[in-house]
Amino acid sequence: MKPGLKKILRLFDYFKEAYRVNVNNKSLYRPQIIYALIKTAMLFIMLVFTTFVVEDFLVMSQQEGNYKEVFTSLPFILLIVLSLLIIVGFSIIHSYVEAGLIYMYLRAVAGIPVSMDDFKAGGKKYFTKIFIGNFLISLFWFVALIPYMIVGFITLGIGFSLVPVIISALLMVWKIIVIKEDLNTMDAIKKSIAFGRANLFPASVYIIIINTISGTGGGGGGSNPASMANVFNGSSSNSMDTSTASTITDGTIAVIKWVMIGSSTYISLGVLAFHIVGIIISVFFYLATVILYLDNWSIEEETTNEMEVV
Amino acid sequence: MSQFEYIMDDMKSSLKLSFENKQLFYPAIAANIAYIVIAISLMVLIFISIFSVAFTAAASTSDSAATNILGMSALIIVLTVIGVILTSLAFLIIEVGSIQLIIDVLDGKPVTRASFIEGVKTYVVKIFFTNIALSLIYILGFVILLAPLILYTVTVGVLTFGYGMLLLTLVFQSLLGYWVLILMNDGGGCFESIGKNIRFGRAHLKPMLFIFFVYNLFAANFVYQSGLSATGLIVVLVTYSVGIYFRMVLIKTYRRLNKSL
Repeated sequence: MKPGLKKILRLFDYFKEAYRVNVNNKSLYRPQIIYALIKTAMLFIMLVFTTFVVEDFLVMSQQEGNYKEVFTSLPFILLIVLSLLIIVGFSIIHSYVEAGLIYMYLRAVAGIPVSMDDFKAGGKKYFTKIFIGNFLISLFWFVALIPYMIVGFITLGIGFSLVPVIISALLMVWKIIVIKEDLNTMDAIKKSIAFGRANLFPASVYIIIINTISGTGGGGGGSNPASMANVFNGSSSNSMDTSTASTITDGTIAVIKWVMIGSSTYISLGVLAFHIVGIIISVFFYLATVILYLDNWSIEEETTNEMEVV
Repeated sequence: MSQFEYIMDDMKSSLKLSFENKQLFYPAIAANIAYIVIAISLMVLIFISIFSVAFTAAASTSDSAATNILGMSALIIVLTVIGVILTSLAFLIIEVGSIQLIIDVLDGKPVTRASFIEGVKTYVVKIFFTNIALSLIYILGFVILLAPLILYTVTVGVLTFGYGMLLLTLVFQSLLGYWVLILMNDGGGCFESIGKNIRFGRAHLKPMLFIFFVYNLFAANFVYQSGLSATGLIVVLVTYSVGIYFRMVLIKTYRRLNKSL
């Protein structure tokens, strides 16, 4: 059997090991749960602000010509400022959480009991390197966007899925390398690319497996804000027609407001549920990746206790 | 070892056998070809139907037009029903044959065309009629349980953000989703195998839920995540191959756990 196929088979041994580490270290979930709660709270606040903006819009649209004032109203300005703060804030918090978690994973895999102190220590020590790396990779995607689109169209759509898979396979272990070997960001990325190139086929299959399983927790976060945006856009275009808008009573506006607040609560709780499922999957696969890297993805078979049934 | 680790071993050895026995996936190629043929036939049928009805309407006098169109529509309905039955039968033949090949591989026997045909000959008719009987029972059950199902959907389904519905599907699959595998593995009768499936599913609910959870994710997402959906024509091949692999995992797990039942 080809080495690439043997490495794919080896994944199941890493999954078993990841499961054992997972079961013995429940505290690995604590930082992620706190992070998920913060993210959900932020989403809820943004949705509620959106509700206030929509309410303002509906009220002002009843007074001819006044609907434009919504763009200078306090809730709208606060929504924009809050959105920007959340985007910048989360890119910083995300890097800190990743650094802390990977530090915890490495300790847990080494058999060392982990606690929140490890999370804080890892986050503090490796935050800058992880943040720089994340920023550089985002920059790379920004620059590569047009070539990526071209490759996607030329390959009749296959490239749209496969290019991110290959890039992810090449960059699979750079964060682990930063923390495990205490290298700087660029050296860690180079080393990760070398590791990814040496294992390109099995690493790509592994990324596809992760994406396939992670599909469970993926959909909730993205679609809801978009649908909220559609609601907002829809109401704004309707409100241009002041004759229609003037028929909206205060009672209707109050109902719309409370329906939107109710929906915001439901959407936020739904996103939290998706986050929790996502956390379980993410911790499991990150542990498997750490184990895989520490083992240098060897193809020596582990002795299993499998019962041979014929 | 935990149940999860045993399942990982089942998955690993099934994948190893899949790599070593590529002939196992020939039925998936057949299914893909059948799918393309059926899709083309369907398009031709729709094309002929539209033009036949249009021609009949144009060529008939006003008195005979309605009768002719009705006659033509009845013919199209009969052809469609025959087409649906033949399609179901064709896919059933491919499924039953491929399960026979999986069982042969697990038993260490070579994969042969004769074995495929033997499996089809032995099981396809009784599975076909049991499927029809089961479909009628499902429809009846669905009608009887419609009110509780709607209640469940709007309460548990909505409150759990869809996970409650997923769980219901997984429980159903765990209790009734692999009786054909049990029939072909153990022999015996169809309804006996359905009984065995329910008993086995109840006794080993957690591992079966887990396998079906992963199976459903792969069946739904793998082809898209790998970029292969873009090629369109081989979607059935990939989805069927995933199905063949997971059937092998199911039989291995069934054999392992059945010892303790």
